[in-house]
Amino acid sequence: MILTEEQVRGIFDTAFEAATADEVELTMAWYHEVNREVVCGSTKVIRFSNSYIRDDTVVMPCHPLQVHVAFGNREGAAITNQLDPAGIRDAVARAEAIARAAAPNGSHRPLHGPEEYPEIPGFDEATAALTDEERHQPVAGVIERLQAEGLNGSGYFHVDDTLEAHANSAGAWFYRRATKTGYAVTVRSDATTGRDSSRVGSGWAAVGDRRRFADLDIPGITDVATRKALGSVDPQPFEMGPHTVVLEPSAAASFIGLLMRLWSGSARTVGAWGTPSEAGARVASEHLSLSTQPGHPQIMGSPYGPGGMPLGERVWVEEGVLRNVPGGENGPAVHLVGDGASKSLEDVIAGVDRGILMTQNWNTMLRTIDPPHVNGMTRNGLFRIEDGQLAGPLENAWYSLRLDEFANNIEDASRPYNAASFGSSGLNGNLMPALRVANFNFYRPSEAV
Amino acid sequence: MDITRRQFVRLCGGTAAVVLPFGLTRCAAPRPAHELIEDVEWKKGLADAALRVTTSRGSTFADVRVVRNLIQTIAADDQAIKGVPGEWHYGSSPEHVLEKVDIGLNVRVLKNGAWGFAASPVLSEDEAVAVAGLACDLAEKAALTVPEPIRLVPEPVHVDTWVTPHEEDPFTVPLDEKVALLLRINEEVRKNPQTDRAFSWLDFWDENKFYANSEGAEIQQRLVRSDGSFFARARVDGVTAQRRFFVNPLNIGYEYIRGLDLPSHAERIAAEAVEKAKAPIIDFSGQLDVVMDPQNICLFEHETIGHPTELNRTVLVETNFAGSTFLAAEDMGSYEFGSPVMNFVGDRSRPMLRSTCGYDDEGVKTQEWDVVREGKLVGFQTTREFATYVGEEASRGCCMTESWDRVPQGRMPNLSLEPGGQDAPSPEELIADTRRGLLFRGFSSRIVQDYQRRYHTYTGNAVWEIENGRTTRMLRGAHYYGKNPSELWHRLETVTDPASWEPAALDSDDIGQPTQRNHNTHGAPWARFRNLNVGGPAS
Repeated sequence: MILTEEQVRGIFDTAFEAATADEVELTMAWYHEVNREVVCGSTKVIRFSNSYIRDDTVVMPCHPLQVHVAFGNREGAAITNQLDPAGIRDAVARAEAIARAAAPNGSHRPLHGPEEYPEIPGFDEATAALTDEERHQPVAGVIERLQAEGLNGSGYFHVDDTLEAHANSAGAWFYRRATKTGYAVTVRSDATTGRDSSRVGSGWAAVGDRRRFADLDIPGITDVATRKALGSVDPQPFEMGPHTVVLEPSAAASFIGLLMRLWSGSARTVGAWGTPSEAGARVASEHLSLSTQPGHPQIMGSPYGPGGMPLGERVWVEEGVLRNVPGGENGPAVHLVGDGASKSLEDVIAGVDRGILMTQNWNTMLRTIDPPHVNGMTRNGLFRIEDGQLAGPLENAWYSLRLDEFANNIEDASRPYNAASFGSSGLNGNLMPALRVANFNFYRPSEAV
Repeated sequence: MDITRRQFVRLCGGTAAVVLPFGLTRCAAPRPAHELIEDVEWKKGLADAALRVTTSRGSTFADVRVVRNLIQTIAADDQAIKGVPGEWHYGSSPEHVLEKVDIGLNVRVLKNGAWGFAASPVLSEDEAVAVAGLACDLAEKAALTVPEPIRLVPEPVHVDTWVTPHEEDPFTVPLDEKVALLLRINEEVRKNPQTDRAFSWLDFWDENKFYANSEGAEIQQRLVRSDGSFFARARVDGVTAQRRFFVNPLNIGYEYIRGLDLPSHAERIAAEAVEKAKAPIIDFSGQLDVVMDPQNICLFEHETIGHPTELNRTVLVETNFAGSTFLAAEDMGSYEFGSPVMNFVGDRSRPMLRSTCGYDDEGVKTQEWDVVREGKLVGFQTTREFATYVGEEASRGCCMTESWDRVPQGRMPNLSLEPGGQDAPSPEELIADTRRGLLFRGFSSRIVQDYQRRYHTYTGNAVWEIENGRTTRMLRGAHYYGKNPSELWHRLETVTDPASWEPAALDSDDIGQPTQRNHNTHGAPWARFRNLNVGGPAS
């Protein structure tokens, strides 16, 4: 069972009683370690490949307790997933031992007091109550179809029942249950492996971070990936150089994520740090508008922000002008929604006389900060556009461009869609527009599929 | 009212009962899991309870792991001890300065030809029984989709205890001693006035794993890992550059950290950071001889040999995220990977290396095997399941799980380039023998590669020009690249002598959905590649 509010208060009370530090901050929430995401709650995963289920897994509820303490500005932290009184006291003692040994942190920030948080319901009882049979059935259905059609499918479907709780010695308190589910699938036109696979068609589709399983159309998502796969067979070479490119929302999301980091000053490469842009500056064409909307009905995200500040709606970019600089007191650029446009992805494609549709990309990274140079490559479906219509598959390719020029070259945008990231566990689920971008530079073809 | 033993145990918080005189019974004081985890007999009891269920349910194979991971990470950013941004590392980075305790058990079942897996952080007999039943349920459902039953190659039954050889438990070393070490390193770095930041860290793991399976294996292991290093950052005329001191992460105790004398290297690393900031950007594009040190080869071999020879990638198991590979299972024994001096050995048994343990996570005794011999692909990384894909009769022992809540997978072992013979040149002789070329030292995450590992571009943490057998000046922005690993490895011409071989390793590696980390060593000597394509970052 997921811990109730009363149970969490009891655990936190044990920790507070054990602590001797000046400041104590307690957290039970999803957290990210490098190369690993940790769910606070239960997680159930079906992972399939070669069109059969490989991993059908259930991890029973686990509630890692994060203890942060400070003596003055000497800080320490510990995590434990053992919530018996001895385990809790042990974690507090470990955190305090680190804090006593630590050198002062000059950027230590004092704890915030109690805050009012907006009510954003993210818990769906029906999703939390899904039986294993109910989870299994839709996946088995798509696998049956993939097998019948001779297609090679690989997918990841997760259902999480999670808890987020925070408290500190300054009196802050927050508790919230949320469900989270997502599905990502790669379909290949056949099971050819190795160097002979460069003519295989491959398609990917995903929906991430939905609160209700009822909103996750597993057969429909698989159909999208299948269409892309069958449409990608025997891709053709194309001329390297600048093209007009339509990026589907998931492909656009990786660029928008980098842009937000660039504007916030948090963009980094090895040993190099960016500087924030100034509010009021024009940072993109008028077709780009972005805001944070935790309460958007398709997001329903946590209203608990960094440092315990309530996370509300905030406009970042309005018609290309940076209204607020992400980060710091403005809060992080999370729960993103691309605003403004009403046209569909198909409408954006229809507006292109000659160009390329990028459905997904991979390894899009900042290579340098100044200038902000990005490269990466396409994956799982690249298509030629002629007279507003898709006109056949193209070979994958590497691209290289300046991120600031990318933003200014946006010529059109769609309404926002769920844009699951090509990630590992959470898939995310920001609402991103499709973008039409001029002078998008491809520089090297790739045989990888 | 009578209560069953199981109910009684549950009432006692999963701990044993104590029988008192005169027939009275009371609960023993509950022992917390972080203490019970040291009790092997208790863990056997949990495993037995789970395996009784899986056997009674008709599984063909089942295994149980009871795991405790203890992790300590301490980082110093100049003179502050605090969390750090991730770009300093290639993989792992201490986002938090912390100690972490993570305990739980899992049960994996092969039933009706399919896998099922369930896990729990609660360590009790009742929970083990429940988790085992759940794993069976899940396997039965998965089996409805499996066209051919999954088979396992056989493995002898092992009952054993294995502990990483170490002298000084890193978790018993006082924290203030570790903090003082890091602050001193940073202080030494910042004595160079042209540095503007120093960053150092220590990272320790203690993995306590009990493994049992339905064939009778019972294996208790403890893996101890020690790692630590530092960076210096310089800023000269608006140019920022960082230089890392590369420590080879090992499975060993704190005696390793003591022996490194990390502060003694700070002055050189700081000076090289400054030299790097002042260095010109490479203005050459074409073919040159390239000399690599072991830490530069480390990432190169991880990406060009390691991932491509993961058999789970080869057979499209990782297609939905990590990707596949340019190799096919049929390539074994025939694919010409590189030049005749290219010899790669996979292992999980060489002392102190990161992936080294006694047994893998499905009870296979660890070993050493050829992956590339004289340039030809001769082996893959296999588990008891994946060995069947290449017709082998035994696993190479590459089944791993990072923690109790992650399903076991085929993962990359230690994978190392072998040195030349005793008559091979030393690193100094290799450079002296190079008329014109580039020397790449240390790895950098600024690499470019596709998801089938066909195309590759690499750089180094520091790059020097070689002219007439001597390193002359540093260059910034230099890369080497090739359209496929074979093209790169066919240009391998010389590897240095055995004394120059080092157990280089990445900080971390990940795979799977959800992802899990991995530790492995990619040892190497120094090596020279003839006429590699080199150029600037846009290559």
